[in-house]
Amino acid sequence: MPTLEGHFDDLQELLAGRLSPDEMDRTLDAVKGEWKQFDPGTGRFKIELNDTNRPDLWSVEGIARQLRGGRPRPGHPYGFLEKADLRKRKGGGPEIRIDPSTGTVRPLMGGFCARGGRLGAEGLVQIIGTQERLSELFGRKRADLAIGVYPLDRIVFPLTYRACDPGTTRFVPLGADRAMTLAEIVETHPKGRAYGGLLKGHPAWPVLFDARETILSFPPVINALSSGEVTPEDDGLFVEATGFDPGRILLVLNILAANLTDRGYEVEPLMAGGIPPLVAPASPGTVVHVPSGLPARVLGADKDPSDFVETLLDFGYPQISRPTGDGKSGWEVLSPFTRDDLLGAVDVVEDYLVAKGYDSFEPVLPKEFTRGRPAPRQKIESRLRQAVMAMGYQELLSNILTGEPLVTERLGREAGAVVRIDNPASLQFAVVRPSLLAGLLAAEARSGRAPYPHRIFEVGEAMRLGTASGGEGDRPTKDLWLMASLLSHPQASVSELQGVLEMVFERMDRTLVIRAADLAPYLPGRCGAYVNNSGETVATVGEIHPEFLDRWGIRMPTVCFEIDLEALLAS
Amino acid sequence: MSSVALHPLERAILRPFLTSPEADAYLSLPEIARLSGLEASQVQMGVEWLKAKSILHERVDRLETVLSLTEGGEEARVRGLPEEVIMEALSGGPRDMKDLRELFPDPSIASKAIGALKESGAIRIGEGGLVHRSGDLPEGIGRLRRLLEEIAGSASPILLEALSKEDQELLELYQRRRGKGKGLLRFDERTTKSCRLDPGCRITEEEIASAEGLLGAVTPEMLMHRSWEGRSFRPYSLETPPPRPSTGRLHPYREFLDEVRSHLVRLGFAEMTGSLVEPEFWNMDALFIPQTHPARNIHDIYLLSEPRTTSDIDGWPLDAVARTHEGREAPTETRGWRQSFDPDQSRRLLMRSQGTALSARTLAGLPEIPGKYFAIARCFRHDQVDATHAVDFFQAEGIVLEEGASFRTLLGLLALLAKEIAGVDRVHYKPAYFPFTEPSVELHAHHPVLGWMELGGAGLFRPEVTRPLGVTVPVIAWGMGIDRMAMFRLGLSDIRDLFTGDLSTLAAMARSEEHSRAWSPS
Repeated sequence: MPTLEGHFDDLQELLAGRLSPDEMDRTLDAVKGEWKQFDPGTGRFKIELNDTNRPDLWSVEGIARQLRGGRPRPGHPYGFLEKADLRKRKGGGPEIRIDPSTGTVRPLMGGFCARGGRLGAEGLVQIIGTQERLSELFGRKRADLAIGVYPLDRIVFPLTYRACDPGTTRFVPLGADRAMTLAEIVETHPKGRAYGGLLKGHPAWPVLFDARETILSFPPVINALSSGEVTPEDDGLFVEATGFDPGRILLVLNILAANLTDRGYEVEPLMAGGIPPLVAPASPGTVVHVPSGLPARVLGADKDPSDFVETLLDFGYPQISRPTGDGKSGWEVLSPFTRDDLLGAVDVVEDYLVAKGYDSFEPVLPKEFTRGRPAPRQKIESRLRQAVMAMGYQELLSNILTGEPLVTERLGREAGAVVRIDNPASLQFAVVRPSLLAGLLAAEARSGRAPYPHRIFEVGEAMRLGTASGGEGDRPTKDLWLMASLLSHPQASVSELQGVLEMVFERMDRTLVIRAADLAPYLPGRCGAYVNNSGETVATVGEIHPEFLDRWGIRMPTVCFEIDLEALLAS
Repeated sequence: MSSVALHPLERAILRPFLTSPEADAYLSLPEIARLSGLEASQVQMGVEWLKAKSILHERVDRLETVLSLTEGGEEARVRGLPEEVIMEALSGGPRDMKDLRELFPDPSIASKAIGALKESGAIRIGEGGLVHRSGDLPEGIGRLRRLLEEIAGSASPILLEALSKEDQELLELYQRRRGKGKGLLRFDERTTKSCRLDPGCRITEEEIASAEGLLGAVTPEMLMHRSWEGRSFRPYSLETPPPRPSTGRLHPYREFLDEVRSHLVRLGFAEMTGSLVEPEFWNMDALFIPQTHPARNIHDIYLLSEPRTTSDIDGWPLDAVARTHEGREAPTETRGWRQSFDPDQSRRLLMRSQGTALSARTLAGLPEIPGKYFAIARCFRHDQVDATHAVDFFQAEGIVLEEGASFRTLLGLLALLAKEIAGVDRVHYKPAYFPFTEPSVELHAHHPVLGWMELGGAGLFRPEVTRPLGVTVPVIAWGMGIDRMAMFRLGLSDIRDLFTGDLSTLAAMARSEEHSRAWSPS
């Protein structure tokens, strides 16, 4: 989830209103944000934004805009929307030419100019932060979308975006003091190493030139040193975005254009070539149809609220009209130009609820009677857990993911049927437990100082690999439902725990016969298995071999049993 | 204190004191054992009782040090002390230093012994490192050998204090220091104690004797022969702390989960269960989570290495879900995610990352309408494990299918759950975002101690979720982070302790649970 840092004065200035830090958490309900931190000394705050689908809110400017009801700041209208229409009508050659060579590597670019404003130190921090959040989160680490911001004064239009040979194309990138080829940048420059992977496998890589054939940047990797870094004093800026989806490029350019307008710039849309050409920023004109009756249904009311339209207009929707088509009812809702999160009518209705404040609606209870019931398995688990607890056993709860050696070497068992995680975060949690014994033995190993005797048990889920159908291909996973117990004290004996085990069988009304077995980690001759009618092993019990006790670091005689509850029920 | 409350053991212990010519004589524990005819362990037990009743007063007479041989000491006794071994080796003529070192498993033993012998003049080191015998075995080594034999051979413990000053000093050089492995001798300190009657107690011999005829334990024979008739029973002193039985206990966290389960069942929810492993289809796609969503990358979920995918797609509404994601010919009016849907990704297997997967399966499996379902499911997230993140954890969640269920029903249900499960009255509904619900809400509850905290997330399932699964009624979906609620109730600050194997921590958790009333269901 995006986290945003800013200055309280900056936010209040953009909002053109007074705010109280104490009420910020509730104020931020309207933007699905949480007030995470505020330092009254420095005025700096942190906000966590929960709506991963509304990148327009991932900036101080965006939050202020939503809190202003989507309206521009007084004296700074979003005039670029009309200018974009004019630019489209005017036609003529594009300010950004797109060479067809960028076709597979990174086909699209859009951009605009902003003039006559001043970022100031805080504004610069914010635009850099917004650029980062948009390209890292919304652009998925620049894979889908990358953004470049440049001082305008050194750029001569029209620009050309084309793919070039990585081995011979060279320029001085930001953060270097000599010209490097694109290939060198990807190999040695920190930004190249971070983002160069996105270009892998492509013979030619995208470069942006200005009219004098000066290299401005190497999207999505790095800008040229000669185009310069943006400073707090720059009154002219050029902003571009590259990627694959014209809708996404337009959206981020719209957001950045609105943000810069809010900081006093006048934005001039530019046309980028391609079929069709892309003029940005511009309203995408997305219209969502909200059928009448839907707001009432969502609200649990008899009829649609009378303030539905008015409330949405105050929440930043630019235009809501009655549909003109045959037999259509409800509303045609135009999406704000900075938003692309409206997938259907319910999204619009939710905005109505958010605008009104969730706490303003009266809660009601579900009306229909339904029959509650625990899972059948729970009843059996309860009975077994109660029974073993009553025999003096303490219940344990262990993690299901564990380390492979704990369920193989430490138990003397084969690794063949263990279900493994492909991308473990740590080797400690790299496999799904196939048995509960490891958890019990680990607990015993940790608890040498707790007063003896130790009588513990666990009931729970585990998993192993089954057999592949026809003996071929991947083996399917098999969920296991197990119960295991451990007994440890100076006189611990198999018969003591075997008594518990047979009481469990009796509790489940099962009679099973034990057969001698030779199964690790038990001592041969002191280990037995209970087998059901179909030959399936239902349970094993035995004294842990001192060799295995030693592997766990246990210095006390210990016996264990484990039951396959599914096999037990099937007996 | 009345003498009749005394146990026969206590009376037996007291008798020697009362018959002694000196009223305030101290008797040592072995003396008491001899005079009373009791076993040492009985004396010890009875003296403790009498001390607790302020009848006997105990003093520590002295500290004694019992000597015994360590494994190294036993070996030196049998095989010879290093100095003896070296002198023996040199009896045949001078030897190279290297040869001498090889006589021992640890060369440092040789170096130390050679150093000591050289200092005493028993050996000298000549040219080329040749070691010559130049005198007799030092007198101390001979004495040490004699002492080792004596300690090993004696039937009763040898006390350090009983030895001569010289021998004591010698042995101290060879004792095993605490925490060090080496050393020939172990020094075990013990105390001897003696007792006398507490001057404040006024017990007389007659009283003891008069209690003699009182009956002790009731026995079956006594009852059968009615031999108790006309006699008195000795009162027991019930103030003595009784032995505690070792007890079994259910895991406090599982008890909490059982409690949550029973609340939900009471509210009309039926329990859902499923596999720990889910294909991405049920865990993600069916919940309208876009295939490019960050929560689906390898840093957020655990994928399996074998099998990687499932081939069993029977009954999956794969096509309807795909069309909904892509926003073309979807079963409901939606723009979709406008990106192509990859059915191969749907088949990838992962460790269930959210219990909502079970809700998706339930919706697709012809649920009862009206219906309420819940799950308390073990879930897995790819987080760095720390005090607030466990590798696997429990999530409670549920769905309500009801014709006419609305956003206000959702709010009402959440308030009810907050009250029933967490025991809180003050709630705040915060707008939230989840890909599968719209409207979405976070439930915040006001706790008297902790202030506002998030209890869970909820919403109405999007039509993009319900329609492809064949459900046309509104569906309320909610989830709660019960781990956090449980941590508070069990007095834990580290979530990993919920799954601890440390029996002492577990016992502390159980106590805390018993004392906690603040966050308990009403």
